[in-house]
Amino acid sequence: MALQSLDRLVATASEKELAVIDEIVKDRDEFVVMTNLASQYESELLRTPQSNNIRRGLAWVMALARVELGAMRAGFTDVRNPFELVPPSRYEFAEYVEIMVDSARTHYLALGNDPNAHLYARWNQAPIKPGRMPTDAQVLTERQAIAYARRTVLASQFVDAVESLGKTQLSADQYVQLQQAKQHLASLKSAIVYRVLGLGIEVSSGTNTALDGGTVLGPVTGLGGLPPATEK
Amino acid sequence: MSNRFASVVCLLFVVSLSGVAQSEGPRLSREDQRAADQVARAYFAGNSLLYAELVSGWLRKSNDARLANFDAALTAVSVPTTGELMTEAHLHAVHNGLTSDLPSPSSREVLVVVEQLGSHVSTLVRMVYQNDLMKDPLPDPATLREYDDVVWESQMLESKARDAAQIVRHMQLLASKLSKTQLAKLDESGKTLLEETDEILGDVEELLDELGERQAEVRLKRLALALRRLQDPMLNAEKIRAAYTAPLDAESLTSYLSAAKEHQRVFKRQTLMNSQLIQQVAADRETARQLAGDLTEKSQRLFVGLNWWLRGRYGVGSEVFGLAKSPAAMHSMQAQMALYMPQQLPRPNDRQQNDSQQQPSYSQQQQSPCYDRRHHYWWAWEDRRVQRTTTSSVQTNRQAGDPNSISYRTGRYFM
Repeated sequence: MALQSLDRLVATASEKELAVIDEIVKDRDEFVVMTNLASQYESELLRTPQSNNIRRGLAWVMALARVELGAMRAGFTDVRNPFELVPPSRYEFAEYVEIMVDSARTHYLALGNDPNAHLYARWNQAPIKPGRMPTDAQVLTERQAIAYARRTVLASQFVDAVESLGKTQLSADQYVQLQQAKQHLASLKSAIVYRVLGLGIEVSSGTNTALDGGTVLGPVTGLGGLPPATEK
Repeated sequence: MSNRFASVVCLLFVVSLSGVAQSEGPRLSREDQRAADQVARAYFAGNSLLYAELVSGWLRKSNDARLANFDAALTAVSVPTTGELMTEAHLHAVHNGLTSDLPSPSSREVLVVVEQLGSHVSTLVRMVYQNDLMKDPLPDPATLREYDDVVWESQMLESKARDAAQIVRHMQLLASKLSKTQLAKLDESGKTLLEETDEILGDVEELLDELGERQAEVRLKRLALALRRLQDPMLNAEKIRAAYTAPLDAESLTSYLSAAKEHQRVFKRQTLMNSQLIQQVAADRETARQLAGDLTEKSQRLFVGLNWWLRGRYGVGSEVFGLAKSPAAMHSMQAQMALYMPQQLPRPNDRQQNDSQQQPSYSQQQQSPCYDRRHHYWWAWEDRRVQRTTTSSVQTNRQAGDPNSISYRTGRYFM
């Protein structure tokens, strides 16, 4: 509903009007959008706190709404390329890209920080029969596995969307790192869906699912610092 | 990071009363132990209708001594007492139009719930009366921007007063379900409270009337200011605000004054006694329309869009820790629109800044907005448990009966 009105506004307002409107939005604290949320999942050694994560203005408001709407489609529908159904206008494109990249990083890094995700990932590292969990994973329930499958799919959708947004702008190195992140997530999803939940037929067994290594989304940290896997 | 992270992890638990209640809390019979366990599970799953049914059933066959032990066992595992749980369930049902789904109450339940609902109503009424809007002179901001806060707050006050009236009507409904024999079983305070509901409702309706007059007067003042701003030849923020608020206030005033005329209402406030007020408002509306031109439509797109955005950003639903609305929203417009909104326009806090500066205040204050990004959390609702935890943790439980509260509950996911 918010975007319906705001999209029409941006399409019909003059530049001068948009400038004044932007001032109205910037002037109100409730329309502040925080960015750089992914940094909270980086280790303290790597973390570089920015002096200002506060963003103000209509473009940020619209970009955030668009990302949340795209994420809803990603999580609750089976449409392909869910983020492309509600693409950004030129007005908020840069802000949209920044929030998308931050969101993708956040999902990816948070999974890397999550001991449960590591438990699931281990299913791909050893030849375990479906339905028979590793001892220390027996505390994980099927319902939780479904939630983590949804989480992994959502993270993948964000990474795919970032890749699509940056097609022409990614360096070769960045592209490789992005592929690495995609591979980790695909492998984790495979572990949960095919091995833990025993759904469908596994197309590829995946390689090492450990969520480590640096990617364009940022270095996944926490493997060394995570609590023991049995700690919940 | 890891130490603090680990300490947070240790706080998380899958709820079970077994062991906790027996080793540290009061001794319960096996039957009560099982019942308490079920109640706690339903509570942590956020299923208010289920725990209402469980507690209601249990209350029918309990006595005071068992109740005290049962409450103590619940409290030992951070679950509210039966009275608080039932109050929360009844409030949830009232807010979402689900009162017919509640189990038929026993006299004990009515007593437990009615006292707390009565206290809740008192708190709401007190909050409204204590607000500056209920004092004279009325707020008189110099800019339309400042009026935003006044009008927002007045709407929140109206919402509280209407909430109080709804709760009193629910109390009356509860009382009507009791037979004379059941009524006789209530203690004196319960009887008195139920007998006084007509009087309480009268007081709340009087409060709503007074608030309505004050809101109308504020809108009249804002309309006058908007007309002045629209005469400014320069395009500026105040003019865009005026283009939006002038027709909005005119519409609201016309509807209010017409209803008052229809019901032959006698106003107490001098400003509203003018018999030509409706015509004056209509004339102001037309003047504003001509002055604003196409700015009216553009400003509506802006502020309507921003209002929806605010709902999405700060609105808290009644289900899944605020991430979802009641299932009744599928078929009821009231439930679809119902959201818990902050009383004052919020200021988001910067989580990273607070984390990096090790400010203790962050973990003590409520995060605003509740969810920095909703998509960071809703994937977890299959299990109806959400825990936000990184290098520091924020978790609070709703205090039943706290009209300002927002609910998060413990869980076992990491985000």
